[in-house]
Formats: sequence, C-alpha cells, structure tokens
Amino acid sequence: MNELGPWLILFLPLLSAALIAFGLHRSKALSAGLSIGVVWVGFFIAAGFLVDAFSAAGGGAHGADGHAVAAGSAWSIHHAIDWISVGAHTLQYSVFVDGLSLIMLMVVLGVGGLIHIYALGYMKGDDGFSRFFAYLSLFMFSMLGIVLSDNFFQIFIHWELVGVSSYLLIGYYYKKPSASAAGNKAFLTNRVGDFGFMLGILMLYFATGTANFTEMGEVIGAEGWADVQKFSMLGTAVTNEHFMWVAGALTLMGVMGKSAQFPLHVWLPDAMEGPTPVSALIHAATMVAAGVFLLARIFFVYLPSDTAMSIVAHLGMFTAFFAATIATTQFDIKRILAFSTLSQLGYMVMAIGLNGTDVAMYHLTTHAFFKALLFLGAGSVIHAVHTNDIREMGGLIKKLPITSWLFLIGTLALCGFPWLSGFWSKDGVLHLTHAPPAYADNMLIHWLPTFTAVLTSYYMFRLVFLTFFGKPRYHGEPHESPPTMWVPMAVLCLLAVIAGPMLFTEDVIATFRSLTRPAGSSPFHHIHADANTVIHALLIFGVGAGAAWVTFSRGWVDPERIKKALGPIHRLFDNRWYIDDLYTWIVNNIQQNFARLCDGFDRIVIISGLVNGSAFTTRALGALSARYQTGSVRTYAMLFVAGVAALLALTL
Amino acid sequence: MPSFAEIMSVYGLEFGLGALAMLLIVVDLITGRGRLTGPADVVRLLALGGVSGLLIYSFMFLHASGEVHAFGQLDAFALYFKRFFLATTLFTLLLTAPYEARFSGGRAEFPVLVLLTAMGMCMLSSVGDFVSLFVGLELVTISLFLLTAWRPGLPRSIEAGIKFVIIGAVAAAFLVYGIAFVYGATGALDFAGVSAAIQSMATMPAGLKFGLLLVLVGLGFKLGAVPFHIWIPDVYQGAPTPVTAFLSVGSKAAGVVLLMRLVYTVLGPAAAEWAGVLGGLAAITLLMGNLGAITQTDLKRFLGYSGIAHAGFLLLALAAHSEASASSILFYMVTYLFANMAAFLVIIVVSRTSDDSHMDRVNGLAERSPFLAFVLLVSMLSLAGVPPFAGFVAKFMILRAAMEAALHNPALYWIVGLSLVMVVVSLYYYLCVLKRVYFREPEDKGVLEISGSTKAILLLCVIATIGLAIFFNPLVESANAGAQSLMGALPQGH
Repeated sequence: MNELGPWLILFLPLLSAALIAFGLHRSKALSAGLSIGVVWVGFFIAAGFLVDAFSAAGGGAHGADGHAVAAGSAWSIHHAIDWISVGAHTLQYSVFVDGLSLIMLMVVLGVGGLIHIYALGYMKGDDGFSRFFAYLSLFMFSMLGIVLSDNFFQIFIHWELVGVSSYLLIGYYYKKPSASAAGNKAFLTNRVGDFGFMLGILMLYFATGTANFTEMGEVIGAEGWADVQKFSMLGTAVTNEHFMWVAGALTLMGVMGKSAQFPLHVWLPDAMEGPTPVSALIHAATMVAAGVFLLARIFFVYLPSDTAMSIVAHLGMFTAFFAATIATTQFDIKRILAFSTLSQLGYMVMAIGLNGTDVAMYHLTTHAFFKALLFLGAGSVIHAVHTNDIREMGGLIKKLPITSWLFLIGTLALCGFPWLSGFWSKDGVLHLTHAPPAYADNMLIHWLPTFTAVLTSYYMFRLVFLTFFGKPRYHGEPHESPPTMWVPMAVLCLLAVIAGPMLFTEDVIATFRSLTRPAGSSPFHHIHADANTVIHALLIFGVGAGAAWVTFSRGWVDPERIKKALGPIHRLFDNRWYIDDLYTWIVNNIQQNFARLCDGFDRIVIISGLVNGSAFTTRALGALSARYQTGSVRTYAMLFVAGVAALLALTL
Repeated sequence: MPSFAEIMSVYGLEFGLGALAMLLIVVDLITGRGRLTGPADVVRLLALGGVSGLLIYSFMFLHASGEVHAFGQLDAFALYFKRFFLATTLFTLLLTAPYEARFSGGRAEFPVLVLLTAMGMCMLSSVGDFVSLFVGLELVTISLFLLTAWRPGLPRSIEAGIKFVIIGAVAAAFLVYGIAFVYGATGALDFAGVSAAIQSMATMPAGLKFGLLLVLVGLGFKLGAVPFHIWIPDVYQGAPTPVTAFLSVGSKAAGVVLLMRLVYTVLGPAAAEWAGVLGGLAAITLLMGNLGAITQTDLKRFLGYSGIAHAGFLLLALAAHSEASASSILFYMVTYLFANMAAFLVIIVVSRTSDDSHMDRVNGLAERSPFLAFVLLVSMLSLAGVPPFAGFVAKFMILRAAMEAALHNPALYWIVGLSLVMVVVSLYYYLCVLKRVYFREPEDKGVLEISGSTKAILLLCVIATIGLAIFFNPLVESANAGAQSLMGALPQGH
C-alpha cells in the first residue's frame, strides 16, 4: 500500500473527474457516488498512513520528560518518477508523504469528504449536478497534488490547477453575472500572486540548483542566505542576500494570492458567489490553507533571515486585524465568514512568522473543522430562507434547531471558548504572540492579535444574534435541512468540539505537533489549560460576545449610535478600508490610460503597419510563388533542370 | 558472398513485406474477385494484420546491431526508420478503408503496391551502397507512380501520375548520373569505400562534388526540397488521398533517411563544407513552402506546401550537423506522422460526398462534427508548432540544435531567424483553416457520421500528438540512440 497508496490518493479524483466529464455525467447518482467514493477511499488510505506515522513517531514521544519528540519525525513515503529531463535539468513528478503533508491530507480528504456528502443534499435538483461533482473531483486532484508534491515545479503546476478549478467552481452559476465576475476576479488576483510565485521559484532554483524541497532546505540551511551561490548573472555575481530577498518576497506573493493575505485578499469575499459547499471546501478549509501549507513547507527559505520572518509575522498579524474589522460591519452571512476566514488565515501566517509552524498547522486543522461547519451551517440557513442578508433572518433557532445549535457550537469553537478545539489552537497562537522571538518583539505583536480575538467574538456573536435570535424578519416558511446536510455538519461539529485533548491526549498532540514541525524550527511551547489561560480566553470571549449581546440582542446600545460615534472609522471598515476602491481607481485611471496608449500604438504601428503590412507582403509573395505553378509539365521539367543548374552554378 | 542468414538479419522485415505482398496476390487469385469488397475483406485484413504483425515483431524481437555488412546494416538508426515506415504503411492501409467507395470497390492490387513501396522504404533505411540505394529508391518511386494514378476514372489522377513519372524520371536520371560521377571520382560504390576515399583527399575534386550534388538533387526530389519540389502540389492534389498521405509522410521520410546516411556517413567530416548548400536549400525551401501555402484553396495542395515547409525545417537540422540535430529530425518525423495522418483522414471524411478536397469542405466543421473539428485543431496546431502539442517539442529541439551549431557556423543564425519568421507565417495559414472550421457557415448542415474505426484512428493520433508533448522522453531516448548509431558509423577524426 505504501507503494501504490499515494498515487491512488492523487489520481483517483482525476479519474473520477474524467469519467464524469466523458460520459458518466448522464447519471447524476453515479457521478456523485463516484466523486464521493474516491475521496473516502483516499481518506482511508491516508488514515492507514496516519496509523503508521503515529506508531513510528510515538516511539520517540516518550522521551525523558514524556512529551519530547525529536524535531521532524523520520517517517515518510517518497516515490518519484523522472518526468522531463532536458540536459542537466530533471523535472520529477512525485508523491511525498511526510508528517506535514499527512496532516494536510487528513484535513483535505476528511473535511472534503464530508462536504462532498453535504453537497449531495445542497445541490439536489440543480441542473449542473454532475458538472458540479466533476469540478469537485478536479479540485481534489489539484489540491492533493499540492499536498503530495516534493518540488516547486510540481507544486506550481497544481497551484495553477487549483486556480482553474476554483475559478470553475466560483463561476459555477455562470449565468449569474456577479458569479462569473467573481470567478474572473479570483482568477486574475491569483494571477498576480502566481506570477510573482513563478519568478520566485525560478530564482530559488537558480540560487540553489534544485527545486526539491528537501535538497533546497539542505542548501539554504547549510549556507544561510548570504552564501547561497550557485550562479552568476550575465557574468556578474549577484549579491546573494539581495537575491534571496527578492526571491523570498516573490515566493511569498504566491502565498498571499492563494491564502488571500493583504493586499491580495480582495477576491475571497467575492468568491462567496459560488455554491456554499464550495465556499466551505475551497474558500475555508482547503485551498486557502494551501498558502499556509506552502509556507510551512518552505519555511526554510525564510528561517535564515530574522527580518524576513518578522515581515511574515507582521503580514499575518495585519491581515488578521484588518479582516476582523471589516467583518464587524458586513451583513452578508457568507461574507462575514469569508472575512473571518481571512482573519484566521492571518493568524496562521503570523504563527509561522513567529517560528510556530506546528501551532499554525494545528490551527489550520481545527479551523478547517469549525469554519467548514460554519459555512455548511450558513448554507443550511440560506437554503431555508433564500437570502444571504442577516437583516432578513432572526429567530431562526425555532425553525432550524439543529442547524442553529451546530452553528452556535462552531461559533464558540472559533471564538476559542475554553476546552473546544479553537481554544487550544488559538491559544497556542496567542501564547506565541505574548512571548515572541526577539526579532518580532514589539507591542503590536503582543496585543493586536489579542484585540483581534475580541473582535472575532464580537462579529461572530453579532452574526449569531441577528440570525438565530430575536424577532423573526424572514419571509416564507423555513424548513430544517435534510440529513445529508446536517449529518456532515454534526460530524464536523463533533470534531470541532473534541479536536483538543478530549480526542487527542497530550501525547498525541505532542506527536501531531512534532510531525508538523519542520527541522530548524524552535522547540515548541506546550499548551497548558491552566487557570490563567482559561481566564484569558474567557475574558476575550466575554468582552467580544458581551458587546454583541448588549448591542444586538438586548438592544441597550443602538448600533446606529455606534456608527455615528465611530464616524470615519466605521466608514473605513464598512468600505473594506477602501482597498477595492483603490484597485478600481488604479485600474480606471492608471491602467486604463496606459492600456489606451498601448492600444493606440497597437492599432497604428503594429496592426496597420506591421501586421497588415507584412500580411500584404506575404500574400503578394505567396501569389508570386504560386504563379510559376502553371500545371504544365514542360514548365515543371524546365524549372527542375534550371534549379539543378542554379545549384551547380552556385556551389561549384 | 554474404550468407542468407546474414542478409536476413538485416533485411528480414523487407522479406516479410515482400512475402506478404505475394501472399495477397495468391489469396486474391484463389478467391478470384480482384476487388476489395468492404472493410472486412480478407485481402485487406491480411494486409493490415501482416503489417501490424511485422511492426510488433520489429518492436519485440528486432535489436539494433553495430555490425556493418557490405550490403547494409541494421543499426538503431535503420531500425527506428523501419518502424516508422511500417507505422506509416499501417496508417496508409487504414486510411484506405474509408476512401474505398471512390475506387468503386477498390482493387486488391492496391494494398500489394503499398506493401511493395513499404518494402523499398524499409530497405532504404539499411542500404550501404549506391546501387542498392538506387534500386530501393526506384522500387518506392515506381510503386508510387502507379498508386498516384490509381483512379482511372478521374483525369486529375492520371495527370498527376504522368507528371510524377516525368519529373521522377528527370530526378532519377540526375541521381544515376551523379552516382556515376561519384564512382568515377572515388572508384567505389559502397558508402564505406566512398567515405574512405573522400577522407583521403585533401580537397574534393570538382567531379566528385558534381556527382554528390546530383545525388543531392535526386534525394531532394523525394524530400520535397525547393527547387525540386515542383511536382508536389499537382501530384498531391491529384493522387487518391491515402496515397497523398503516404507520399507526404513515407516518401518524404525516404528522402530524409538517405540524406542523413549520406551526410553523416558518406560525407563524414567533409559535411562541414556542405552546411552552406544544405542551409541555403533550407532557407529557400522554408521561404517557398510557407509563402506558397498561404494562397492555397485546396486542402491536399495546401498540405503539400506545408510539407515543403516542414522539409525546410528538416534541411535546417541537417545543416546543423550534430548528434542533437540528427536526433531532433528523428523525433520530428514521428510528430509529423501523427499530425499529418490525422489531417488526411479528416480530409477523407469531409470530402466523402463531393469527391474533391476544396477548403470549403471544412467550413463550419465544428457544427457538423465537433470531434473532427477538434482533431483538425490538434493536427494544425501541432504542425504549426504550438504547445502543448508534439510539433512544438519537435520544432523546439531542431531550433535548439541549430542554435548550438550556430556557435560554430554563424550563418545558421540567419536561417534560424528566417525559420522563426516562417513559423509565424505558417501560424497564419494553419489558423486560416481553423477559422473556416470554427467560424464559417457550413455548406451542408448535416451531421457528419464517422465510423467507429475512423474515430479510433483519429483518437490515436490526437492522443499521440498530445502525449508526445508531455511524455516525450521515451521517444527522445530512442531518437538519441538512432542518432548515436548514425554518428557512431562516422569515421574517426571528427
């Protein structure tokens, strides 16, 4: 199984997508069944690996103090085939399962599998039912390729494939203009990031002479930034520190695009135009986490430079805060969750910047559980009331009791309510920010993430109070969703509750964290649920949720008065910090004018002059060359002999 | 005197093809019909089965050997081309079935002639002396004369046959005359002897140069190099379409295989002096082929010009004269085979009712049969050298080899530059065909019915054309082996 398993995990979804596209789509049941089936087959194969990995790593888990595990467990599966070799360069296609990718596999396949089942209910009756499952399978293939890749080029190919399948899924309701516009926006924004990513990959390849993560890690790890030197450009040696700065920054652009980090975050809220299972799968649990996963994978690139690590940390910190402020003003249920996702991704990126890859991966896992649950819950609500606007909901807890309670538990987990999964993971992150590495030790890192956590509780409970409590403001008669929808939610809810020490003993968590911690990362901080931590978490939760309660449940404070009091700050948040407007302005005023200039040049010089000119010339020459083709065999023979004579005359 | 076993070790496949041809004649006599009666006719099935069997045999049991006999050799280069010719023959026979109606039943001699042509082609990949070269070449050419004129009811076919015979005779005369001069100057007819003689000379005497140039003329005729391409448009248009396909791939490859043997083995180190001639021919061939294709309105004529343009690329690679360029030619031929065969099969299908191959036949093809339209798309883009199709990889390899060679021979930069401009021109005319396919109104809105076997052949071509662009390593490796064996035969001192 170790030989074949990873290949099966990777290629079964592709096979499924191909089969559905080439014929199976006529049967909705078969299409959905196949698509769901391959994900779960993959899940169980991966689960087998997990058992292996834990028994391999578990041996070392009981060290001197009972929890210490050697950094970077030795367990891994690696198969590679030479795909293209040109000269000295060989491009490999591989499957590489180590601790990090194994955890990611479990998240992608497990959460993905549940969402596939949920989609069965949610998409029921849709015309493109089979098409939807074909896209989902294509997405799974693309995503799993990122997870299983051992080199930059393969990851880039799948990075683009993920972009394509995400585009297809966002624009799934392609007859709706806003949906196809959102698809375009996501695709184009990612294009910006991916262009930088590609340049970054090529630069790293030049600098280290390899695209393989392990080998590249060894080169950079051994030599640091200053001494990575395998090349010179146009005969001049490049100062490597500068070269690595540019390479690192460009590579980070890939992460920023895919994980929707500031300032390339603008596509994610719009991407909510896609069907809700897509929002849950791609834009909450898996694809957007790919950037974080990649950052964990190529951690070694940034590790040698304190400044680079600090930049990563601050980028994540700012995104987390920035997105949370916007979430407090939105009214579209899915957009609130989208901004919340942005914010949580910011936490993960920040954790990596603070040298806490294991914590980031742990938060990624728990976040996948509760954010997928929240999205599925939102989908269930939308399914019932046919609107996304929380101002037209209210009091739904009486009509949709199962959804409401599951959603509420998911919210508590997200807000880090003690002993739910979010408590353990988010507290891990906040713990890092309170004792950051020296290179990022400042007041902002200390306190802004904590304040962001307060904001998180506030906007989530604002959402909960407006949607599920208070007076009904919905139209029509909402009904609870079918079991195909709420059962996957219940499973996710269970995971969101117990994905702390209840499910995993401290030993297991320690092993988990050791699996996801790359070599070179600092020794990890253990999470202790002591009184201090619990009070800290409760305080954050209480302040945020309390503020939401007095405003939106009790009505003691009029939200309009807060708006007035905050004035410009509220407008800033409400307009998403004017980032989208800024981009629109740039496009309209700078890009468009530049485009007009290019267009004029194109029309006058290129088209009239070069294209039409050369077309005219070639056509004339073509007609000329056809002229001697008279059809007369005497002419032919003569021309032939003349040709021979000319050849002889010119050569001899 | 070589033993029978020795001869069989080199020419086993040729004997197989000959025996198969004889068998077909006997079977045809016994069943006594003289006509092919349908896709499942016993004669046709025997021919297809036999060629497939030989192809499989060549892959499974034939191995290249370094042994050089007086009468020829079966090195990796020869084996590569023998397989190529067998595959081409197989495609030609497959293409014949859907064309059959226009033979009004089809003559059973047709497959026999195809097999005899294939026999000649396979022989040419192994020959080691000028006499066998001439015999093999004439076997190919004369069989093709007959095949070209195979449609007695159609004046255009007869006319094409006659033109082909006359120009072919002129070319053959030059070839024989050239061989005589080579013999006169070197006193040898076998490649090794001529090569040794050339190496022993300080400078080439004019008589030898004259002889070799005339041999080049004879082979340039097969290859379709300008100015010896003059027969191509008319003959391609007039010949039955499967024969045109055979001419465009098989006959061209026969020219390629001999030119490579001649340039790499016979000329050896002296080939450097010939880079100018070959480069010049490449330039003018690229120019004329590409410009000529622009104004064509007949699909077969159009593909004839496109084939001339491709010959220009092959000549460019020959002029580069390195192992990498030799290998790139071998790769190029295979990508050309699949793209061209697909295009000709589409022509056969779309011109089924109207019996001519005017470009209007593909107008609006996308509406009538999206599948055929897609096949044509893949084929045209591969011929134009657009990624992700095999033609791109092939062109890339040739250009890379030529750029490397240009470091020693800067004149090649100009030809590479010209070839790049011509690639752009070729994109124009290939896209013009696709414009008709996708944007013109069809003349006949009826859905085109395609038989399962036709679909399977086309699908094979499409898969190969895309597959070779992604997994090109196995083919590149065997092309490298072929090129190595060809260079290996080169006398020391290079």
